[in-house]
Parts: sequence; structure tokens; C-alpha cells
Amino acid sequence: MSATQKTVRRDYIVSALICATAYVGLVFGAKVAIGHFDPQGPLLMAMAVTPAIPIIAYFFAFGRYLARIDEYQRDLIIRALLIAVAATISISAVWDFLQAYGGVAPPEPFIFTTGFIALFGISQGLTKLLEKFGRRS
Amino acid sequence: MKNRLKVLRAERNWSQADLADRLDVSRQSVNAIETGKYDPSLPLAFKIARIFEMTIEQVFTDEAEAA
Repeated sequence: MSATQKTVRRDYIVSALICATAYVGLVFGAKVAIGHFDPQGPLLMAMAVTPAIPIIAYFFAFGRYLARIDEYQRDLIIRALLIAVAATISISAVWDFLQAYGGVAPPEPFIFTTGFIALFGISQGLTKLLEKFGRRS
Repeated sequence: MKNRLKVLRAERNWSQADLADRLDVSRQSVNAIETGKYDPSLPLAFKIARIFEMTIEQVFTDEAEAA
């Protein structure tokens, strides 16, 4: 890997780790602060959405990473991303219809966010495996 | 699309990592291009040709044309 590509990868890993750490801190911090201060109205809303800020920041870091990595690596990640998006939307659509017509309970909060992240991890591994064994996914 | 990357690299005694450094891409990218798993974009193909001091046609061959 070239020096520039190493720097790009390092920057991304550092940004992702900062976002992940901030996310964990804010999830627990917001829960404790809301329980302790019992805010109301706009302040409650502001405190409730703070854990989403690192997630949004992560997507900026991810976009910056995609723009800076070499075209082949970007091609692999985009393919993995498309697989994860398609799988998440498919599962979500099936669940929606089951909920609408089959009486199935609504999904737990955050299930599709965490599910998407898990599926993206799986699809990246799958894409790399398919590439290694000479098949385009 | 076929290419002569492996031969050209061997003639210069360059490893995949050496070529990757010169192209400012990952070693995996060089490997994918060499093995025909990935066709580079036109700017990258020009860059490859420039590094070997050749034209694109001397490095890459259209398989349909070659057949």
C-alpha cells in the first residue's frame, strides 16, 4: 500500500474510533443525564438526539474515506454497501408487510441501524472473499 | 481487457508493492488489475502507461479485438 493510501486508511480508522467512542459515551451519557436532570420540551429533544451526532459524523468520515481511497478499493466498498442497503431495505419491507397484514409486532428501536451496520460488515467480508476466489459479486 | 503489467513489472524488477507506490494505489489494486479481476479507469490506465513510458495500447489489449 502506498504511503498516501496508508495515511488515508489511518485517518479513517482514527475518525471511526473517535465516532464509536463518542457514540458509546453519548448513549450512556444521554441516558444518565435525562434520568438525572429530567429535562422537558426542546432540551429533552436536544439531549435525546445527541447520540445520533457521532453516527452522522461517521458518515462524513466514511464519505471522505471513499473519496480518497484508490478506485479499486472504492469499487469493492461500494459493491458491499449496495448489498447491505439492498438486504436492509428488503428485510425492512418484508417486516413492514408482516406488520401491516400479518399482525407482527413493530421492530425494536435501532434494529435496522444496527442491522445495517452488521450486514455491511458481512457484505464487505463476502465481497473480499468473492474477489479473492476470482468472482465478481 | 488483457494487460502486460506482470511482464513489464518483472522486466523492471518491481514488486507489486513497488508499482502500487508509484501509482499511489494499494497493492491489492495492482494485483486485481494484473489478474484481470479489475479494469482500471482511463486516468489510471494512462498513469500506468506513463510509468512504463509506453502508450496505453502497449500495456492494455482489448480482448475482443485480440480474438
